[in-house]
Amino acid sequence: MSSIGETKGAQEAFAELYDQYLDKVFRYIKYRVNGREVAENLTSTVFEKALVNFAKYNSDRASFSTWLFSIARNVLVDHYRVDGRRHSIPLDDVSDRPSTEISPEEAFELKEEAEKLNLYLAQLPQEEQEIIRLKFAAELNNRQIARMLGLTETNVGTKLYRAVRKLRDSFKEPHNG
Amino acid sequence: MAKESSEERQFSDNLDKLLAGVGTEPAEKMSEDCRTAVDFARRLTSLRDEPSPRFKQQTRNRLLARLVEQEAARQKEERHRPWGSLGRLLSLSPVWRTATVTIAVAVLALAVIWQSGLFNQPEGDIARRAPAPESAPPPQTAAAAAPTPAPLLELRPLETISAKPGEAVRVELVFTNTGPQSIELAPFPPAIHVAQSGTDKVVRSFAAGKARRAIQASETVTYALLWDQKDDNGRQVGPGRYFVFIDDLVFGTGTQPDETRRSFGRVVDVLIQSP
Repeated sequence: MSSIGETKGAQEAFAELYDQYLDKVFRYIKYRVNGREVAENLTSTVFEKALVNFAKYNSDRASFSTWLFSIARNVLVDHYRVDGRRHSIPLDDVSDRPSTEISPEEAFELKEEAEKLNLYLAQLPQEEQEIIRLKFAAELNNRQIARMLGLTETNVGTKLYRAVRKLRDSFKEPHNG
Repeated sequence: MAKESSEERQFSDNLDKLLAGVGTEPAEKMSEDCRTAVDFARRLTSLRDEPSPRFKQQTRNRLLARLVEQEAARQKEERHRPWGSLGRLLSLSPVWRTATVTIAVAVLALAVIWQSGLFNQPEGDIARRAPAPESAPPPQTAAAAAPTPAPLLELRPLETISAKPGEAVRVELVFTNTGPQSIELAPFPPAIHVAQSGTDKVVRSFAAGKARRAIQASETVTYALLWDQKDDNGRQVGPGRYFVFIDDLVFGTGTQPDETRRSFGRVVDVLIQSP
């Protein structure tokens, strides 16, 4: 058994992992909650929980990303339980993206597209939604997703391809939604 | 069916490349359906949101400060543990040290004598400890009454193989039947995969065989796999650490051939050295 805490300076190791995974965790959460501020708070909670349990993390049992996104999923479950909120269309965020090198027209288009994406995503079966989030936001590979969702890797590949094509077709249809 | 499966795989591979910021395959190598799905995936990635730099920095600072606090608290707690106190007591003076060691030895000796039963072994107990008479029910009867134990299969503990680039790597999978009855692995060999450590990305998959393999109780069977260090596309993998895993091993007894499925997450580590 080897733990990261044992093999590297804990601070250095944690900072490295934080830099590597912060964006991914934020995006994953952002897909599921309404608003940037809520997403940032929950992202922060995920890393706090990871920090508290960091010494217990065993790299032989699961990759760090699988472990971290399991925490993220639990944080979201708690959030829904306490808050009673369901994922809804975030209306406030595309326009206040940190990358501000876009014109107001482009910002408007992005916002519209993001709204459409959330709408069509919500129409997919829960499992396909989660696969899309774990792939596009968390950037997990199919094997890691398979482990998290209790599916086979091939199954994840099939469902992912199907879900992306459904979304693509929904975007094509002008009157959908 | 096979076409669909290969298309799904091609899509997944291209999507992983896209997310890793690496160029995807040329469009003409993909079907229309796959190409448009990859194009749409590219569009989806552009819609992803990013946390603000301020949030990133503030959270980073706060967490690292908390880590320092946590570490300090842990060290403090360690200093106050009972064994820590005992250690300090022992280091105080030779008198204390001698007294503590004497008491510990006396307690240990008493425990050994007590365990041997010298003080409290009545005759009845001795009779109870004697071997069972021959009239005792035969073991088969007892076994028939008990539920059938689940078949057990173990793999040799994780080992690391180091290899030079391009050198064929011989991976030995040593299966031991640790249960009381013979078992059968089907298919044999199982599907075996090689993945890159850290990313868990599967670089090479070896398809399952079509045979069945019986393993008697306590028997060990070795299956040797030769990996030429190439990925599924026939390219030499880069230097670094890889691991071999078995995703779905099916085995069971003669009467119930498929009763147990197991995954062996990390069977062998392979370290490909830098050239």
